[in-house]
Amino acid sequence: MNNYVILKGKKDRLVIHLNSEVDFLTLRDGLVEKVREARNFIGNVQLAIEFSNRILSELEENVLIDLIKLNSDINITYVFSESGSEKKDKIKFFKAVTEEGPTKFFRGTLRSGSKLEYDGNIVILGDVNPGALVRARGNVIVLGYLNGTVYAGLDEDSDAFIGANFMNPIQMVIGVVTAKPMQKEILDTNKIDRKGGFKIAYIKNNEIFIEDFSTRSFCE
Amino acid sequence: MAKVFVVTSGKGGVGKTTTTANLGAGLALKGNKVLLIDTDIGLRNLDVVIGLENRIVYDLVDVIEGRCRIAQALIKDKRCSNLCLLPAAQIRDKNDINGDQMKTLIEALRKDFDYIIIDCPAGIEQGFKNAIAAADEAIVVTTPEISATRDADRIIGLLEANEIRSPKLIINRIKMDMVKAGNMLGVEDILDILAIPLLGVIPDDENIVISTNKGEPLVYKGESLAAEAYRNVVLRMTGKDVPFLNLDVKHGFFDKLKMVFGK
Repeated sequence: MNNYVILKGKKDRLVIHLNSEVDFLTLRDGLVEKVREARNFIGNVQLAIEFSNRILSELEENVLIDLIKLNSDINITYVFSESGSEKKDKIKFFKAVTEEGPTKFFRGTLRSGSKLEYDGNIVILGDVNPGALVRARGNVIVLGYLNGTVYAGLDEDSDAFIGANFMNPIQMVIGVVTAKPMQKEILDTNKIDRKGGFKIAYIKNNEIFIEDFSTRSFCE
Repeated sequence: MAKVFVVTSGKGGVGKTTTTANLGAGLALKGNKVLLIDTDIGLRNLDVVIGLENRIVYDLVDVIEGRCRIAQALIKDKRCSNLCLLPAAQIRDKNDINGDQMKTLIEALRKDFDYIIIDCPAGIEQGFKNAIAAADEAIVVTTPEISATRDADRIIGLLEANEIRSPKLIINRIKMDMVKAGNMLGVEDILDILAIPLLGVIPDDENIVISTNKGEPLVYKGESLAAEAYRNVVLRMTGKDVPFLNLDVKHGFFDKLKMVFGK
Protein backbone atom coordinates (compact mmCIF):
# COMPACT_ATOMS: atom_id res chain seq x y z
CA MET A 1 0.00 0.00 0.00
CA ASN A 2 1.60 3.24 -1.09
CA ASN A 3 0.43 6.75 -0.58
CA TYR A 4 2.11 8.43 -3.50
CA VAL A 5 -1.21 8.73 -5.23
CA ILE A 6 -4.53 9.60 -3.61
CA LEU A 7 -7.83 9.55 -5.50
CA LYS A 8 -10.52 11.96 -4.33
CA GLY A 9 -13.95 12.62 -5.75
CA LYS A 10 -14.98 16.24 -6.10
CA LYS A 11 -18.37 17.38 -7.28
CA ASP A 12 -17.59 17.43 -11.00
CA ARG A 13 -14.30 15.59 -11.27
CA LEU A 14 -11.92 12.99 -9.96
CA VAL A 15 -8.93 14.64 -8.30
CA ILE A 16 -5.72 12.66 -8.44
CA HIS A 17 -3.40 13.92 -5.78
CA LEU A 18 0.20 13.15 -6.74
CA ASN A 19 3.20 13.00 -4.49
CA SER A 20 5.51 15.78 -5.59
CA GLU A 21 8.78 14.20 -4.53
CA VAL A 22 9.06 10.58 -5.70
CA ASP A 23 10.44 9.83 -9.15
CA PHE A 24 8.01 9.48 -12.00
CA LEU A 25 8.33 5.70 -12.39
CA THR A 26 7.38 5.07 -8.76
CA LEU A 27 4.53 7.53 -9.12
CA ARG A 28 3.38 5.73 -12.26
CA ASP A 29 3.28 2.35 -10.54
CA GLY A 30 1.48 3.91 -7.59
CA LEU A 31 -1.19 5.32 -9.89
CA VAL A 32 -1.74 2.00 -11.65
CA GLU A 33 -2.18 0.26 -8.31
CA LYS A 34 -4.69 2.83 -7.05
CA VAL A 35 -6.70 2.91 -10.21
CA ARG A 36 -6.95 -0.88 -10.31
CA GLU A 37 -8.10 -0.95 -6.71
CA ALA A 38 -10.80 1.56 -7.45
CA ARG A 39 -11.84 0.03 -10.76
CA ASN A 40 -14.96 -1.66 -9.45
CA PHE A 41 -15.78 1.19 -7.14
CA ILE A 42 -15.71 3.86 -9.83
CA GLY A 43 -17.13 1.70 -12.60
CA ASN A 44 -17.92 2.78 -16.12
CA VAL A 45 -18.56 6.53 -15.91
CA GLN A 46 -17.83 9.71 -17.75
CA LEU A 47 -15.51 11.75 -15.65
CA ALA A 48 -13.30 14.77 -15.79
CA ILE A 49 -10.02 14.24 -13.98
CA GLU A 50 -7.59 16.61 -12.34
CA PHE A 51 -3.95 16.04 -11.48
CA SER A 52 -2.99 18.05 -8.42
CA ASN A 53 0.03 18.77 -6.27
CA ARG A 54 2.59 18.11 -9.00
CA ILE A 55 3.51 19.88 -12.21
CA LEU A 56 3.49 17.33 -15.02
CA SER A 57 5.05 17.67 -18.42
CA GLU A 58 2.78 16.98 -21.36
CA LEU A 59 4.48 13.62 -21.93
CA GLU A 60 4.10 12.57 -18.31
CA GLU A 61 0.47 13.63 -18.29
CA ASN A 62 -0.23 11.56 -21.40
CA VAL A 63 1.46 8.52 -19.90
CA LEU A 64 -0.69 8.79 -16.78
CA ILE A 65 -3.88 9.30 -18.80
CA ASP A 66 -3.12 6.24 -20.93
CA LEU A 67 -2.53 4.20 -17.80
CA ILE A 68 -5.85 5.30 -16.33
CA LYS A 69 -7.66 4.38 -19.54
CA LEU A 70 -5.93 1.02 -19.61
CA ASN A 71 -6.59 0.09 -16.01
CA SER A 72 -10.10 1.43 -15.47
CA ASP A 73 -13.42 1.85 -17.23
CA ILE A 74 -13.41 5.61 -16.80
CA ASN A 75 -14.32 7.59 -19.88
CA ILE A 76 -12.23 10.73 -19.45
CA THR A 77 -14.09 13.79 -20.67
CA TYR A 78 -11.55 16.40 -19.73
CA VAL A 79 -8.25 16.71 -17.95
CA PHE A 80 -7.61 19.61 -15.62
CA SER A 81 -3.96 20.05 -14.96
CA GLU A 82 -2.05 22.21 -12.56
CA SER A 83 0.25 24.56 -14.38
CA GLY A 84 0.72 28.23 -15.17
CA SER A 85 -2.05 30.82 -15.11
CA GLU A 86 -2.23 30.76 -18.91
CA LYS A 87 -4.32 27.64 -18.79
CA LYS A 88 -6.73 28.84 -16.14
CA ASP A 89 -9.12 30.54 -18.57
CA LYS A 90 -9.08 27.58 -20.87
CA ILE A 91 -10.25 25.52 -17.94
CA LYS A 92 -13.14 27.87 -17.45
CA PHE A 93 -14.18 27.46 -21.07
CA PHE A 94 -14.08 23.69 -21.07
CA LYS A 95 -15.68 23.46 -17.69
CA ALA A 96 -18.65 25.20 -19.19
CA VAL A 97 -18.83 22.50 -21.83
CA THR A 98 -18.77 19.62 -19.37
CA GLU A 99 -21.41 21.21 -17.21
CA GLU A 100 -23.82 22.14 -19.97
CA GLY A 101 -25.40 18.76 -20.12
CA PRO A 102 -26.18 16.33 -22.90
CA THR A 103 -25.30 16.73 -26.54
CA LYS A 104 -27.29 15.69 -29.58
CA PHE A 105 -25.34 14.51 -32.60
CA PHE A 106 -27.24 14.89 -35.87
CA ARG A 107 -25.92 13.21 -38.98
CA GLY A 108 -27.14 14.55 -42.31
CA THR A 109 -28.27 17.75 -43.92
CA LEU A 110 -31.02 19.90 -42.47
CA ARG A 111 -32.94 21.14 -45.48
CA SER A 112 -35.38 24.01 -45.76
CA GLY A 113 -38.44 23.41 -43.60
CA SER A 114 -36.78 21.01 -41.19
CA LYS A 115 -36.23 21.80 -37.55
CA LEU A 116 -33.81 20.43 -34.97
CA GLU A 117 -34.42 21.31 -31.34
CA TYR A 118 -32.63 19.90 -28.33
CA ASP A 119 -32.52 20.51 -24.64
CA GLY A 120 -28.75 20.60 -24.57
CA ASN A 121 -25.96 21.05 -27.09
CA ILE A 122 -26.25 20.21 -30.77
CA VAL A 123 -23.53 18.99 -33.09
CA ILE A 124 -24.52 18.69 -36.74
CA LEU A 125 -22.41 16.48 -38.97
CA GLY A 126 -23.72 17.96 -42.18
CA ASP A 127 -25.14 21.21 -43.55
CA VAL A 128 -27.83 23.54 -42.28
CA ASN A 129 -29.50 24.96 -45.38
CA PRO A 130 -31.38 28.26 -45.64
CA GLY A 131 -34.89 27.81 -44.29
CA ALA A 132 -33.87 25.21 -41.70
CA LEU A 133 -34.03 25.95 -37.98
CA VAL A 134 -31.68 24.81 -35.21
CA ARG A 135 -32.50 25.57 -31.60
CA ALA A 136 -30.34 24.42 -28.69
CA ARG A 137 -30.42 25.11 -25.00
CA GLY A 138 -26.64 25.03 -25.04
CA ASN A 139 -24.07 25.38 -27.79
CA VAL A 140 -24.33 24.59 -31.49
CA ILE A 141 -21.56 23.27 -33.69
CA VAL A 142 -22.03 22.68 -37.40
CA LEU A 143 -19.38 20.65 -39.20
CA GLY A 144 -20.54 21.84 -42.59
CA TYR A 145 -22.27 24.83 -44.15
CA LEU A 146 -24.34 26.90 -41.75
CA ASN A 147 -26.81 28.88 -43.87
CA GLY A 148 -30.02 28.49 -41.89
CA THR A 149 -31.39 30.07 -38.74
CA VAL A 150 -29.74 29.15 -35.48
CA TYR A 151 -30.55 29.79 -31.82
CA ALA A 152 -28.10 28.88 -29.07
CA GLY A 153 -28.32 29.44 -25.35
CA LEU A 154 -32.04 29.55 -24.71
CA ASP A 155 -32.74 30.56 -21.11
CA GLU A 156 -30.83 33.74 -21.85
CA ASP A 157 -27.57 31.87 -21.47
CA SER A 158 -25.00 34.30 -22.77
CA ASP A 159 -22.07 31.88 -22.38
CA ALA A 160 -23.28 29.75 -25.25
CA PHE A 161 -21.45 29.74 -28.54
CA ILE A 162 -22.08 28.75 -32.15
CA GLY A 163 -19.35 27.24 -34.27
CA ALA A 164 -19.42 26.33 -37.96
CA ASN A 165 -17.04 25.34 -40.69
CA PHE A 166 -18.75 27.65 -43.18
CA MET A 167 -20.51 30.37 -41.26
CA ASN A 168 -23.18 32.29 -43.18
CA PRO A 169 -26.46 32.02 -41.23
CA ILE A 170 -29.57 33.93 -42.19
CA GLN A 171 -30.27 34.66 -38.56
CA MET A 172 -28.28 33.92 -35.45
CA VAL A 173 -29.35 34.40 -31.84
CA ILE A 174 -27.28 33.64 -28.73
CA GLY A 175 -29.14 34.08 -25.46
CA VAL A 176 -31.17 37.20 -26.11
CA VAL A 177 -28.73 38.82 -28.50
CA THR A 178 -29.41 38.73 -32.23
CA ALA A 179 -26.44 39.00 -34.55
CA LYS A 180 -26.29 41.73 -37.12
CA PRO A 181 -27.27 40.43 -40.55
CA MET A 182 -24.29 38.78 -42.15
CA GLN A 183 -25.47 39.01 -45.72
CA LYS A 184 -25.74 42.28 -47.52
CA GLU A 185 -28.03 40.97 -50.24
CA ILE A 186 -30.66 38.27 -50.37
CA LEU A 187 -28.70 36.54 -53.11
CA ASP A 188 -25.92 35.97 -50.58
CA THR A 189 -28.15 33.93 -48.27
CA ASN A 190 -28.00 31.04 -50.68
CA LYS A 191 -24.30 31.28 -51.22
CA ILE A 192 -21.89 29.54 -48.95
CA ASP A 193 -18.98 31.22 -47.29
CA ARG A 194 -16.34 29.87 -49.66
CA LYS A 195 -13.38 30.95 -47.62
CA GLY A 196 -14.50 28.57 -44.93
CA GLY A 197 -12.40 27.82 -41.91
CA PHE A 198 -13.98 27.07 -38.57
CA LYS A 199 -15.55 30.22 -37.16
CA ILE A 200 -17.02 30.73 -33.76
CA ALA A 201 -19.66 33.19 -32.57
CA TYR A 202 -19.99 34.27 -28.95
CA ILE A 203 -21.19 37.18 -26.89
CA LYS A 204 -18.83 39.89 -25.76
CA ASN A 205 -20.07 43.22 -24.40
CA ASN A 206 -23.64 42.29 -25.26
CA GLU A 207 -22.82 41.86 -28.91
CA ILE A 208 -22.20 38.81 -31.01
CA PHE A 209 -18.64 38.45 -32.20
CA ILE A 210 -17.78 36.10 -35.02
CA GLU A 211 -14.18 35.23 -35.55
CA ASP A 212 -11.87 32.55 -36.84
CA PHE A 213 -11.52 29.93 -34.20
CA SER A 214 -8.21 29.60 -32.52
CA THR A 215 -7.52 28.25 -29.08
CA ARG A 216 -6.08 31.59 -28.14
CA SER A 217 -9.33 33.43 -28.62
CA PHE A 218 -10.85 31.36 -25.85
CA CYS A 219 -7.91 31.54 -23.50
CA GLU A 220 -7.66 35.28 -23.36
CA MET B 1 -40.72 -2.82 -66.83
CA ALA B 2 -40.89 0.92 -66.76
CA LYS B 3 -38.73 3.21 -64.66
CA VAL B 4 -41.01 5.70 -62.97
CA PHE B 5 -39.77 9.28 -62.66
CA VAL B 6 -41.53 12.15 -60.97
CA VAL B 7 -40.73 15.70 -62.09
CA THR B 8 -41.22 18.05 -59.17
CA SER B 9 -40.10 21.41 -57.84
CA GLY B 10 -42.19 22.73 -54.97
CA LYS B 11 -42.50 26.16 -56.49
CA GLY B 12 -44.78 26.75 -59.44
CA GLY B 13 -43.75 28.13 -62.79
CA VAL B 14 -40.20 26.83 -62.84
CA GLY B 15 -40.77 24.55 -65.83
CA LYS B 16 -41.91 21.18 -64.49
CA THR B 17 -44.47 20.67 -67.23
CA THR B 18 -42.19 21.89 -70.02
CA THR B 19 -39.45 19.64 -68.73
CA THR B 20 -41.80 16.66 -68.52
CA ALA B 21 -42.98 17.24 -72.09
CA ASN B 22 -39.48 17.61 -73.48
CA LEU B 23 -37.95 14.71 -71.61
CA GLY B 24 -40.89 12.50 -72.58
CA ALA B 25 -40.68 13.46 -76.23
CA GLY B 26 -36.90 13.11 -76.19
CA LEU B 27 -36.99 9.63 -74.66
CA ALA B 28 -39.71 8.58 -77.12
CA LEU B 29 -37.66 9.82 -80.09
CA LYS B 30 -34.86 7.55 -78.91
CA GLY B 31 -37.21 4.61 -79.37
CA ASN B 32 -38.39 4.17 -75.79
CA LYS B 33 -42.03 3.61 -74.96
CA VAL B 34 -42.93 6.57 -72.79
CA LEU B 35 -46.02 7.46 -70.78
CA LEU B 36 -46.53 10.95 -69.36
CA ILE B 37 -48.97 11.28 -66.47
CA ASP B 38 -50.29 14.67 -65.44
CA THR B 39 -51.20 14.69 -61.74
CA ASP B 40 -52.04 18.39 -61.59
CA ILE B 41 -55.75 17.70 -61.20
CA GLY B 42 -57.81 20.85 -61.56
CA LEU B 43 -54.98 22.83 -63.16
CA ARG B 44 -53.86 20.53 -65.92
CA ASN B 45 -51.36 21.89 -68.41
CA LEU B 46 -49.28 19.05 -69.77
CA ASP B 47 -51.86 18.26 -72.44
CA VAL B 48 -51.68 21.86 -73.64
CA VAL B 49 -47.89 22.04 -73.67
CA ILE B 50 -47.67 18.81 -75.63
CA GLY B 51 -50.52 19.79 -77.96
CA LEU B 52 -52.97 16.99 -77.18
CA GLU B 53 -55.66 18.96 -75.38
CA ASN B 54 -58.26 18.51 -78.13
CA ARG B 55 -58.04 14.73 -77.96
CA ILE B 56 -58.86 14.18 -74.30
CA VAL B 57 -61.88 11.96 -73.70
CA TYR B 58 -61.16 10.26 -70.38
CA ASP B 59 -58.69 11.31 -67.72
CA LEU B 60 -56.75 10.13 -64.67
CA VAL B 61 -59.69 10.40 -62.27
CA ASP B 62 -61.96 8.50 -64.68
CA VAL B 63 -59.44 5.66 -64.76
CA ILE B 64 -59.02 5.59 -61.00
CA GLU B 65 -62.74 5.71 -60.37
CA GLY B 66 -63.31 2.95 -62.91
CA ARG B 67 -65.38 4.84 -65.46
CA CYS B 68 -63.15 3.65 -68.28
CA ARG B 69 -60.40 1.17 -69.03
CA ILE B 70 -56.84 2.43 -68.75
CA ALA B 71 -56.24 2.04 -72.48
CA GLN B 72 -59.21 4.27 -73.29
CA ALA B 73 -57.70 7.19 -71.40
CA LEU B 74 -54.21 7.01 -72.93
CA ILE B 75 -53.65 9.47 -75.76
CA LYS B 76 -51.06 8.54 -78.36
CA ASP B 77 -49.02 11.38 -79.82
CA LYS B 78 -49.33 11.22 -83.60
CA ARG B 79 -45.95 12.85 -84.14
CA CYS B 80 -44.21 10.09 -82.22
CA SER B 81 -46.09 6.85 -81.74
CA ASN B 82 -43.97 5.84 -78.73
CA LEU B 83 -45.32 8.70 -76.64
CA CYS B 84 -48.54 8.46 -74.62
CA LEU B 85 -50.26 10.89 -72.30
CA LEU B 86 -52.58 10.22 -69.39
CA PRO B 87 -54.15 13.63 -68.77
CA ALA B 88 -55.38 14.98 -65.43
CA ALA B 89 -59.01 15.84 -64.80
CA GLN B 90 -59.80 19.52 -65.02
CA ILE B 91 -63.10 19.63 -63.13
CA ARG B 92 -62.04 17.64 -60.09
CA ASP B 93 -59.43 18.32 -57.45
CA LYS B 94 -56.34 16.74 -56.01
CA ASN B 95 -58.07 15.24 -52.98
CA ASP B 96 -60.21 13.02 -55.23
CA ILE B 97 -57.41 10.50 -55.52
CA ASN B 98 -54.79 9.15 -53.13
CA GLY B 99 -51.32 7.69 -53.19
CA ASP B 100 -52.41 4.07 -52.96
CA GLN B 101 -54.65 4.44 -56.00
CA MET B 102 -51.71 5.95 -57.91
CA LYS B 103 -49.53 3.01 -56.89
CA THR B 104 -52.10 0.50 -58.14
CA LEU B 105 -52.51 2.40 -61.40
CA ILE B 106 -48.79 2.62 -62.06
CA GLU B 107 -48.23 -1.04 -61.23
CA ALA B 108 -50.84 -1.87 -63.87
CA LEU B 109 -49.09 0.35 -66.45
CA ARG B 110 -45.49 -0.49 -65.65
CA LYS B 111 -45.17 -3.53 -67.90
CA ASP B 112 -46.28 -1.67 -71.04
CA PHE B 113 -43.68 1.10 -71.02
CA ASP B 114 -39.96 1.80 -70.70
CA TYR B 115 -40.38 5.14 -68.95
CA ILE B 116 -43.25 6.65 -67.02
CA ILE B 117 -42.84 10.34 -66.22
CA ILE B 118 -45.18 11.91 -63.69
CA ASP B 119 -45.72 15.66 -63.86
CA CYS B 120 -46.13 16.82 -60.25
CA PRO B 121 -48.21 19.86 -59.29
CA ALA B 122 -46.69 22.76 -57.37
CA GLY B 123 -46.94 22.62 -53.61
CA ILE B 124 -46.39 19.91 -51.03
CA GLU B 125 -49.98 18.89 -50.33
CA GLN B 126 -52.09 15.99 -51.58
CA GLY B 127 -51.16 16.55 -55.24
CA PHE B 128 -47.49 16.19 -54.41
CA LYS B 129 -48.17 13.11 -52.31
CA ASN B 130 -50.13 11.51 -55.18
CA ALA B 131 -47.37 12.27 -57.65
CA ILE B 132 -44.50 10.82 -55.62
CA ALA B 133 -46.38 7.82 -54.22
CA ALA B 134 -45.42 5.47 -57.03
CA ALA B 135 -42.19 7.06 -58.25
CA ASP B 136 -38.87 5.20 -58.25
CA GLU B 137 -36.78 8.27 -58.95
CA ALA B 138 -37.25 12.01 -58.82
CA ILE B 139 -36.12 14.88 -60.99
CA VAL B 140 -36.15 18.19 -59.15
CA VAL B 141 -36.48 21.27 -61.35
CA THR B 142 -35.38 24.65 -60.08
CA THR B 143 -34.57 28.05 -61.50
CA PRO B 144 -31.64 30.14 -60.30
CA GLU B 145 -33.88 32.15 -57.99
CA ILE B 146 -33.68 32.08 -54.22
CA SER B 147 -37.36 31.24 -53.85
CA ALA B 148 -37.16 28.31 -56.26
CA THR B 149 -33.97 26.93 -54.70
CA ARG B 150 -35.45 27.21 -51.23
CA ASP B 151 -38.51 25.24 -52.33
CA ALA B 152 -36.39 22.69 -54.16
CA ASP B 153 -34.43 22.18 -50.95
CA ARG B 154 -37.65 21.55 -49.03
CA ILE B 155 -38.84 19.13 -51.72
CA ILE B 156 -35.58 17.18 -51.61
CA GLY B 157 -36.03 16.83 -47.86
CA LEU B 158 -39.57 15.53 -48.35
CA LEU B 159 -38.51 13.13 -51.11
CA GLU B 160 -35.80 11.71 -48.87
CA ALA B 161 -38.32 11.37 -46.05
CA ASN B 162 -40.52 9.41 -48.48
CA GLU B 163 -37.73 7.00 -49.36
CA ILE B 164 -37.06 8.39 -52.81
CA ARG B 165 -33.30 8.41 -52.58
CA SER B 166 -30.89 10.61 -54.51
CA PRO B 167 -33.12 12.86 -56.60
CA LYS B 168 -31.47 14.50 -59.62
CA LEU B 169 -31.43 18.21 -60.35
CA ILE B 170 -32.30 20.21 -63.45
CA ILE B 171 -31.51 23.91 -63.32
CA ASN B 172 -33.87 25.68 -65.70
CA ARG B 173 -33.86 29.13 -67.29
CA ILE B 174 -30.34 30.12 -66.35
CA LYS B 175 -28.95 33.35 -67.81
CA MET B 176 -25.20 33.07 -67.94
CA ASP B 177 -24.58 36.78 -68.45
CA MET B 178 -26.58 37.55 -65.29
CA VAL B 179 -24.67 34.91 -63.37
CA LYS B 180 -21.40 36.45 -64.50
CA ALA B 181 -22.53 39.88 -63.38
CA GLY B 182 -23.30 38.42 -59.96
CA ASN B 183 -27.03 39.09 -60.23
CA MET B 184 -28.15 35.49 -60.39
CA LEU B 185 -27.21 32.32 -58.55
CA GLY B 186 -24.75 30.21 -60.49
CA VAL B 187 -24.84 26.46 -61.01
CA GLU B 188 -22.16 26.05 -58.34
CA ASP B 189 -24.08 28.11 -55.79
CA ILE B 190 -27.20 26.01 -56.27
CA LEU B 191 -25.27 22.75 -56.07
CA ASP B 192 -23.56 23.88 -52.87
CA ILE B 193 -26.91 24.25 -51.16
CA LEU B 194 -28.91 21.41 -52.69
CA ALA B 195 -26.02 18.93 -52.80
CA ILE B 196 -27.66 16.47 -55.23
CA PRO B 197 -26.36 15.22 -58.60
CA LEU B 198 -26.90 17.54 -61.56
CA LEU B 199 -28.84 16.12 -64.49
CA GLY B 200 -28.82 19.19 -66.69
CA VAL B 201 -28.72 22.95 -67.05
CA ILE B 202 -31.26 24.50 -69.43
CA PRO B 203 -30.58 28.05 -70.62
CA ASP B 204 -33.31 30.66 -70.72
CA ASP B 205 -34.65 30.56 -74.26
CA GLU B 206 -37.48 32.34 -76.07
CA ASN B 207 -37.94 29.30 -78.26
CA ILE B 208 -39.36 27.46 -75.24
CA VAL B 209 -42.22 29.95 -75.02
CA ILE B 210 -42.88 29.62 -78.74
CA SER B 211 -42.86 25.82 -78.65
CA THR B 212 -45.08 25.75 -75.57
CA ASN B 213 -47.60 28.01 -77.27
CA LYS B 214 -47.53 25.82 -80.36
CA GLY B 215 -47.99 22.68 -78.31
CA GLU B 216 -44.90 21.13 -79.77
CA PRO B 217 -42.02 20.11 -77.47
CA LEU B 218 -38.77 21.77 -78.47
CA VAL B 219 -36.85 18.52 -78.77
CA TYR B 220 -38.94 17.51 -81.79
CA LYS B 221 -37.27 19.94 -84.12
CA GLY B 222 -35.67 22.78 -82.23
CA GLU B 223 -32.10 23.71 -83.07
CA SER B 224 -31.74 26.01 -80.09
CA LEU B 225 -29.41 25.65 -77.14
CA ALA B 226 -32.35 24.75 -74.85
CA ALA B 227 -33.38 21.91 -77.17
CA GLU B 228 -29.79 20.69 -77.18
CA ALA B 229 -29.68 20.86 -73.39
CA TYR B 230 -32.89 18.82 -73.09
CA ARG B 231 -31.54 16.21 -75.51
CA ASN B 232 -28.46 15.90 -73.33
CA VAL B 233 -30.63 15.39 -70.25
CA VAL B 234 -32.43 12.61 -72.11
CA LEU B 235 -29.10 10.95 -72.89
CA ARG B 236 -28.06 11.21 -69.26
CA MET B 237 -31.37 9.64 -68.19
CA THR B 238 -30.60 6.66 -70.39
CA GLY B 239 -27.29 6.26 -68.61
CA LYS B 240 -24.95 7.99 -71.05
CA ASP B 241 -22.23 10.28 -69.81
CA VAL B 242 -22.60 13.54 -71.74
CA PRO B 243 -20.53 16.64 -70.94
CA PHE B 244 -22.43 19.77 -69.93
CA LEU B 245 -23.03 22.38 -72.63
CA ASN B 246 -21.07 25.57 -72.59
CA LEU B 247 -23.87 28.07 -72.13
CA ASP B 248 -21.76 31.20 -72.32
CA VAL B 249 -23.41 33.71 -74.59
CA LYS B 250 -21.41 34.54 -77.64
CA HIS B 251 -21.29 38.22 -78.30
CA GLY B 252 -21.22 39.48 -81.86
CA PHE B 253 -18.83 42.13 -83.13
CA PHE B 254 -21.30 44.98 -82.61
CA ASP B 255 -22.16 43.86 -79.10
CA LYS B 256 -18.49 43.98 -78.23
CA LEU B 257 -18.19 47.45 -79.75
CA LYS B 258 -21.16 48.58 -77.66
CA MET B 259 -19.48 47.20 -74.56
CA VAL B 260 -16.26 48.99 -75.31
CA PHE B 261 -17.92 52.33 -75.91
CA GLY B 262 -20.08 52.11 -72.85
CA LYS B 263 -23.80 51.80 -72.49
